Amino acid sequence: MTPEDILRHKPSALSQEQREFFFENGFVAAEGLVSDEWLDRLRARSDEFIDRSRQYSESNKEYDLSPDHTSDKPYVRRLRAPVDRHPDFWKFAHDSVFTEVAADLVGPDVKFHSCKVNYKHPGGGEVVKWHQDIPAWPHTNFSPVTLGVYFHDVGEAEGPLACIPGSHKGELYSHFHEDRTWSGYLSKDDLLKAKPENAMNLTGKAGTIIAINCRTIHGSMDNKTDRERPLLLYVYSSADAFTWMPSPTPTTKSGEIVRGKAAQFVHMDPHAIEVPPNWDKEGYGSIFASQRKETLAKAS
Amino acid sequence: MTPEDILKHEPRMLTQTQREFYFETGYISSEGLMPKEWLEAVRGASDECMEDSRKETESGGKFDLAPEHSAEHPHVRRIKSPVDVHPIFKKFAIESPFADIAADLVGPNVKFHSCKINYKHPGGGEVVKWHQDICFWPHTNYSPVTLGFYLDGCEDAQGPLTLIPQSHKGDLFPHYDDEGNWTGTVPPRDLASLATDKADGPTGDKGTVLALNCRTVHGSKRNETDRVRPILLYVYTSADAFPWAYHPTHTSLSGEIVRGEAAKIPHMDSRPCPVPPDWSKSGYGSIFTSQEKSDGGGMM
Repeated sequence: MTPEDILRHKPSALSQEQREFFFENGFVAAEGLVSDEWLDRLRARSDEFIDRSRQYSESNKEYDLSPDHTSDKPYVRRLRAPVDRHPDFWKFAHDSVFTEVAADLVGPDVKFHSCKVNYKHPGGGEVVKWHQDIPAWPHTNFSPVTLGVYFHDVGEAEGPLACIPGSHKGELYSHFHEDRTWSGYLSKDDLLKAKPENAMNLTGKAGTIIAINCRTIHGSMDNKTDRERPLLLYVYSSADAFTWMPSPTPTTKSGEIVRGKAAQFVHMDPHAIEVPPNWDKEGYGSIFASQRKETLAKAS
Repeated sequence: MTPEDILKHEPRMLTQTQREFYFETGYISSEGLMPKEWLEAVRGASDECMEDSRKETESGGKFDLAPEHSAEHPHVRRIKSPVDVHPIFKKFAIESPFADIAADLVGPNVKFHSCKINYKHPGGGEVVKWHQDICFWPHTNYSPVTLGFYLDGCEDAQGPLTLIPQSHKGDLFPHYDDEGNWTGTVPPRDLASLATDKADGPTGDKGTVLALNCRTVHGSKRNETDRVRPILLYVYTSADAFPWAYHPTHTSLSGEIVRGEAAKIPHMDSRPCPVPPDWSKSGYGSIFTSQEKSDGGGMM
């Protein structure tokens, strides 16, 4: 579906202005849509999983753990595939306002792709350099949207997600190093072209939903506070978008239609995108792992 | 790659006229292309497999067996994934001029997709109704070509593969009935729009090679003779073609580059393509099993 097709359907959670802002800028932040009840449940589940991580000493299929992680002081950088960890995380994906927001941005027929919860630690290194999402998991079109929920209030100091307005309408950049190994971020030269000085921080109160189109260049700075900043991130696409490479972060729910119906025809966007590594063969790790191969640079 | 790009490369096995014929009509057949040594090696491997099948009592990973199959009278309908069944079949896919013929039709960078050997038995029910291959295993473009190799030759009465000229330039027809059930065949109402009266079933001596484009409508009648008619069928694509649905007949060689190099950028063709069932959930069986259930789409 094209943005024009999508906008013709009535919105169910966002306002028409918010949707137009998304298609114009490549992102939007919306406060007050997630109920307190859902927010409490998500926080409670997240706390439980952090507690469970004490039994592990290294990363596994559930957790991406920092080298500083200990059973006394858990340091989880990421909870992987949360929809496979607890039914509440899956319910939130297919039966909550989140699903409605996805439908407002990809059309009434919605497919689930992948998910994670990222934890940005105080003074920690979880800086995420400027990147586009779609080069890591290409689809036949550019409908995929990443929806995020902040569990707590996020201001400038917490390292909010930052997006470059209009960058989803620009180039698809290479996310490889010159030696053709995967970097997971834009090169310095490309970044200059992309005008990161225009970036906008997506701050908001607890429960704020942020939405980022898969082509939008985004990143996040380090957390300068003394509090962790959890961010739940789910990726949805139009039902007529199909992946053509193995997913770096598959879940048992990937590819499921969570709203509306399955597509009868594919939507194939002719714009080409660089072929990523075959994650089935090379393994994915996480964006932290790939981006860390180089000295930690600031996100801007 | 487009046909124009492909034709700019020097041919290796076919003549330029044969390649032009393929792009114009959607298929090409030629005798005497393959060296005798390869023909005998492949025939020998096929005979070994037939011997081997006497040990089997039911269809499994290697063979699709007819119900009347027995140790005394083997009735193999298909060798599934021959490249994983006998080393000669794998060698043939990679090292023989077969892959060079593929390069003449998909460009110098060639990816292997899938394979099988079909045995059409005398008086048997292995009629294949009109269908388009790409509807079973869609890719980001329409470069995929199926190369057939008649191990013992094929005459008119043996049910040669029969193709509708230029149908590769027309529409792709969803292979579903009105209730949305997969039939694996062009629906009867769409058959009227096809020039079935112009269908061509090239025949030839043993070693005849037949190439058909993935969009070309084709089928085959029953074998009216008293001799089995084996045909080896391997699918190759341009390296810049990527499957976007679950691969129904994956092999250890699927996705491997057999000529030239891997693509950095895919080729996305935006012509409409219907979505197949999710084979990972519904199971694939074979074209015989899906077509058996349908009444429509009869073969001439």
